[in-house]
Amino acid sequence: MALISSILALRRDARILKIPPYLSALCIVIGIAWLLVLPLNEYSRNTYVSENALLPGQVHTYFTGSEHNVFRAYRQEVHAMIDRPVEERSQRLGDIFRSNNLKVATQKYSYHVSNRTIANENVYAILQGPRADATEAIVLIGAWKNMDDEVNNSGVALVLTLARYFKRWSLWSKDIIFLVSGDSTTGPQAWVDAYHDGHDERYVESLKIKSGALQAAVAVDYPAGPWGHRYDKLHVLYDGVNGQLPNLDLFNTAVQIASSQMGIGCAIQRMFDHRDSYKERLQTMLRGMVSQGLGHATGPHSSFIPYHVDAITLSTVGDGWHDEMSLGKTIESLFRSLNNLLEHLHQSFFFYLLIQANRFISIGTYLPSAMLIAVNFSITSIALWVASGRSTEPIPNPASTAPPKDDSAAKKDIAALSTESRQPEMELVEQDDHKALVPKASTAITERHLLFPLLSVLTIHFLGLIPLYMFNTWGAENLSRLYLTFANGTTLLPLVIAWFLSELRPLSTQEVTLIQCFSLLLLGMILAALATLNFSQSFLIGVLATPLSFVRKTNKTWLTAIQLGFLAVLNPVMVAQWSAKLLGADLQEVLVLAAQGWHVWGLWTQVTVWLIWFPAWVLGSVVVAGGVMEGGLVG
Amino acid sequence: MAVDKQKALLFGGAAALRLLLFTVFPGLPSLLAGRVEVSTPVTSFKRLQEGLFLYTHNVSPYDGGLYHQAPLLLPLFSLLPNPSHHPFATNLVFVVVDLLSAYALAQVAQSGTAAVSRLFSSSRRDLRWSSAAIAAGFLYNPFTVLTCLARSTSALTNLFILTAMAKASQGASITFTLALSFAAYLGMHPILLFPPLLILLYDARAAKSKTAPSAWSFTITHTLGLTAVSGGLLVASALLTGSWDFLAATYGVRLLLSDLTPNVGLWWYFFIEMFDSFREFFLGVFWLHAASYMPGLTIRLHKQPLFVACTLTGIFAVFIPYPSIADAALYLSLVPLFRHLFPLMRYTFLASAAVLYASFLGPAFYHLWIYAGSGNANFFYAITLVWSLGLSVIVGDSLFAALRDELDVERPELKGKEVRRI
Amino acid sequence: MRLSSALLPLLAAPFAAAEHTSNWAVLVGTSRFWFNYRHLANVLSLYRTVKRLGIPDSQIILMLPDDMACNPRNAFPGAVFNNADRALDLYGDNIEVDYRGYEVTVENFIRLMTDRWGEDTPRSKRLMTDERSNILVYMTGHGGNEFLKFQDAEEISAFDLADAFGQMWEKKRYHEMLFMIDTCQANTMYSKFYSPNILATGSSEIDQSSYSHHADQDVGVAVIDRYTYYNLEFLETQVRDPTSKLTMGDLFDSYDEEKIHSHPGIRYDLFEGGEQSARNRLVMDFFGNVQNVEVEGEKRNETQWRRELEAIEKMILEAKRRHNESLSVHPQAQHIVEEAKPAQNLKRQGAAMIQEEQSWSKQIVGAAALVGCAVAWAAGSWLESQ
Repeated sequence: MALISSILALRRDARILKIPPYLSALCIVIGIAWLLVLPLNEYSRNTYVSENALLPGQVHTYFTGSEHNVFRAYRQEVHAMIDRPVEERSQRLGDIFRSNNLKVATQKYSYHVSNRTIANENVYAILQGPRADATEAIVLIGAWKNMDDEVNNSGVALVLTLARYFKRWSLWSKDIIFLVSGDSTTGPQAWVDAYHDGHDERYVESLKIKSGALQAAVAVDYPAGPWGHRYDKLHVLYDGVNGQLPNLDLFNTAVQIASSQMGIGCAIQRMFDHRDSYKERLQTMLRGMVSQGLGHATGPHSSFIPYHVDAITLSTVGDGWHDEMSLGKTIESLFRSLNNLLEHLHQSFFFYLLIQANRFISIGTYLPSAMLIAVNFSITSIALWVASGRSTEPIPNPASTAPPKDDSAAKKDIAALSTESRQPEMELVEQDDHKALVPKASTAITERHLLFPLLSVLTIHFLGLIPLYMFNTWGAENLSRLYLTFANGTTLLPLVIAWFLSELRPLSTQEVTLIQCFSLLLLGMILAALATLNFSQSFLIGVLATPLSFVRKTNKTWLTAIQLGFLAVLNPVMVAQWSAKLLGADLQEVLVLAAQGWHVWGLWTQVTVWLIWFPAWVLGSVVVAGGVMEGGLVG
Repeated sequence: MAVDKQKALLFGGAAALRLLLFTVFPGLPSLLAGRVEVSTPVTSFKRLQEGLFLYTHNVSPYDGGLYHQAPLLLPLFSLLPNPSHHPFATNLVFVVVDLLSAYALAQVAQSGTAAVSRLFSSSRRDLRWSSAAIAAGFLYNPFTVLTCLARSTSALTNLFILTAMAKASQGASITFTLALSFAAYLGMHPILLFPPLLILLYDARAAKSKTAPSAWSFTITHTLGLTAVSGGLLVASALLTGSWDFLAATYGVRLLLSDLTPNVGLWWYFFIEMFDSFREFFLGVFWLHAASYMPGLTIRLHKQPLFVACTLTGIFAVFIPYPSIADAALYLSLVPLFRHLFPLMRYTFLASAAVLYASFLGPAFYHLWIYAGSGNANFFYAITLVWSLGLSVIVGDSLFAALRDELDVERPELKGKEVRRI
Repeated sequence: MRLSSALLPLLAAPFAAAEHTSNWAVLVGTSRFWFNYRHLANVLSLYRTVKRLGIPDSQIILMLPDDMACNPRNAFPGAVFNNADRALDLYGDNIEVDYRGYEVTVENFIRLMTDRWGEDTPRSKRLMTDERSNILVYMTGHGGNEFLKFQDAEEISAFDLADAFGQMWEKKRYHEMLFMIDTCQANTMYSKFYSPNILATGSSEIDQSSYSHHADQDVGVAVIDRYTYYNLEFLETQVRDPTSKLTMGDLFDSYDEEKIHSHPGIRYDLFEGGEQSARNRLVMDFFGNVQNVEVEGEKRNETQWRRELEAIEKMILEAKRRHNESLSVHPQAQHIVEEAKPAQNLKRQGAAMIQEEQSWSKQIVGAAALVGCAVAWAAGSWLESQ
């Protein structure tokens, strides 16, 4: 307690108030530098399988020979279904499953998002483990269309072949569910929602047959046509919705089986030519972070992860010499490993950043970077709190012998304040054995008026609901226009608010400081909480919002202009635009997908953007824009 | 008249806000009733429903092993239509409970006993918020709103605690005894508020009648009164349930912590980890610790009894076995009564930041632990520690401020000087 | 000379017979789950070997925590193999598992060793040894420094084990004991032993892992551990029949660290006569059964034998009488129970029946309680306002 008291006594020191901006900046610099050193060998580790039961690659795979002929036949059959209506396709797929003595069911879904309808049908079959107790199941998914909207011809055929092949084994300890979903994101979502009874029956049909608790899911994406295609590598996709990740053991098992047992190279995050240099590692990591930060679905597996079902997608890429049978064998071996599981995957990490298919960074190593970014806001907020308690009158230099000059009108009030003595009020400060005379104004704490700042911060945050609602409910055709209006509107918004405030209720300096203080406090707090849920999102938003710690209301018009210009670029709405351009995405599509994500996948990214980041930005900008008004009034 | 209008607006607004939330988000009450931060095993509305079901079906409500709340709540709630089909009446009851609590709090604020008591008058007594502002602080406190939405029965306990405070500050002996008995009957731990509130009542009576009544007879009559009312309630409960088994299922659970559902307090994790052989010992230690603040504070700060009672609610919010945000809401709503102490408090920002941080990180970590499966119990417990730390810093800081305030009155020459605690 | 050397074992035989009169084996696997297939295969292999060398099932206590043969993951249902050649199904012929599944606990193991049981414990679950019995204790599972895990839930420490053996010695429950353990840091497990006549050997030193020998790619798991594998190799190839005169020294000498990939340890110091006499013990003294049967009949006279027989007859009669008595008492007891039942039933029925028709009375009670409180409150307020 004594220690805290003496630390608190430091508050008396006026110099202490000058430190926080540097401390904040230091936090940001260290936070970013921290991230940049992560790909080095010292901070990353080789992946390893930590679950004893998995035993990856310890079995012979027998998926060869005659199965190949079966596969080719199914591939043709699937190809023949491409132009058929959905019902007929489902019927035929169901017939194939049924001919292999599997229980089959279908599930229709139809979502209405942004005035459009997304409708399709899932077909799935359940292979009951002959000696299993039907309490657990693993899922093999072949989406009808992959993320690039190509027909997953060979992938679906492989699922059918494996269904036939797996049926002949008697060693399954879990049921195996073969799912051919209508598309790559909405279909699996509808299915997994319905499997856990978390669906809205207005849009999604309930499942007619079910099995036990899902333990893991593996999706195959192999869009080769009826004549096949030899691929070079497997692209392993692992990001789930909202940036949740599958247990690292599942990923490791897949990579180990593919690369060690089958000799197929593995790539992640579209880094197909990874030569293990620092630059490429960093690039992989950043791509992973962007993908995680956006929180969107990256494949059929993504929808499973929020339900705590670990899932990955294996996607074939490039031209090489690996054929469908090696992919089939990889899946066979992977399923034999998953079959060995005794409990849910839990041994390995759920929070990690991958910099290569067999190197990762664990949460303990990377979390501090996001936390430092979040802490920078808290530090500034504390500094602003302390500053808000200081009296706003300028402190005259007590050492100066000359009386303050009387020439400027602005200083008249000070002169009036100290008319009696012409000397600032002094007080004796004793610390340890030292005594000093300091102006009273630098130690006295004035009363803070919290209500208005608190209410304005809360109001602005609540107003974030308006864009959140509009962007998620408007029709797709109007989204672009809405966006344009918003982009223009929000750039001017701070000025408008500041003008209104200056007209209706001019803010005192203390209130301005407190508004910024509360806003930053809230931002830092939520980013810290977010860092534990979605590290990348917290980090990215944190970095993009860092200027909010440093912008201040000032009377210098040019400084205000620079600050406002800088903030305008970092307006979340503008960030969406330039980052879409930078990443090569179409903004219109992004907006539509975001709305789809909100309604179908349960995406939370918009909430973070509109209810946290955007209001924080507005508040920061309003504070700065206040300077314009004042500057305008004075000058 | 203007004040009345303002108050009407305030209460009406609070009621409207709650009813609006109830109607706009019909799933919210049941979601909140399942949240461990809001509903504990001894206050949960879901468990009350379970008990109610058993009760209306002529089964002992305590047979299911889920219901740990007072038996008299059952006939009261059985008067209302089934909340799972017609929730409106139940919701209305909880809204009214909140409004009554706020009214009682406003009365406490009105009485001005926070800054000026019979034996003590703060030098900063002019620094105070209006009773309407303090009631608003209670009604619009998000923790109170959440408790109301979750329909946690701790709202009732809070109502009776606040009413007891109001009645004590008005010098109304009988209703004070009744209110405190109800509070103790529902929540057990409020019985510890009896000594400080008795002093408060004594002061109020002394101020009213100008001649102080005899302290001994005053204490004895009120203690007897409290015993009689509490005994009556217990006997009524026993008659209602047909046996005395309810004691073990209600107060027994609170005392012996047999239900280890996580909550925002410090006990559950500790007792999950503990070896069985030490359980009794540490139960004793924990209870002794939680209860030991009462005598010390009451004696040291007997000149400011309301402050002691307020601080005790803060201590309850941290150290009782099944605390929830409702307890914190009660404490945080009482603190603004002591507006005159604020200039002397030094860690307000730190403590409120800790409490705020915990309120955001708590649900996040609970999600990681229970739903995402990627975290574990330690995550959540760490956050409840921060939460408790935040609250205890407020308690400690306000205590310091109150002592300093007394010092300022006793030795005015020291006013404004730095003190050092040794 | 040749004759005398040939006769030497024959001369030694009666001497050996005086040393111990029975052989017991306690074979313990301590881990369950499919990926621990090899531990169960280890135990079953040992079981098969000692059975082949003559220890009867009645003198083998087999503790198997899991059933690999019937695990759904087993590609060869009903069979357990200890070799990828799958030449020998360890589960094939009759197997007598004495402790299975969750019966394999530290408590049960220690009770077994020290023979602290309730009266109704079946003979098959008891180790009925005396001071003339040689015991082979074989354990395998996952372990560490001075502990061995039992089923992922508990562990036995080296001290527990030493104390259990110490107690056995006090209770004259063994003559000589061979303790053999195959686990990681196995040698630490016997480091705390203090009771005499124990010859102990383990698979690996402190801070050293024990490794599996090889995996069967069709079963998909490792099928046997190295240390056990090479022990078995010796026992199966060298000790061909119960007349084998190979010594423990021969067995220990066969350990090859190159092959086992860890350092097997042997502890001689507790053994009477130290290293030399321990090494000279026959393998068959622990892994096989006693071959020499001592006929004691001649020493007793016929009258004593008859008397004993009569005594037994009396005991049987007495037991019969008691049994009949209890039979006649029984119905009465039942009667009392039945009499007591209706009252209980009545209460149960009332409790179990779900009926809501009385809810009006409940609501009246509720209203009364509410009104009572309100009246008390109003009265209090009224009195106060006076």
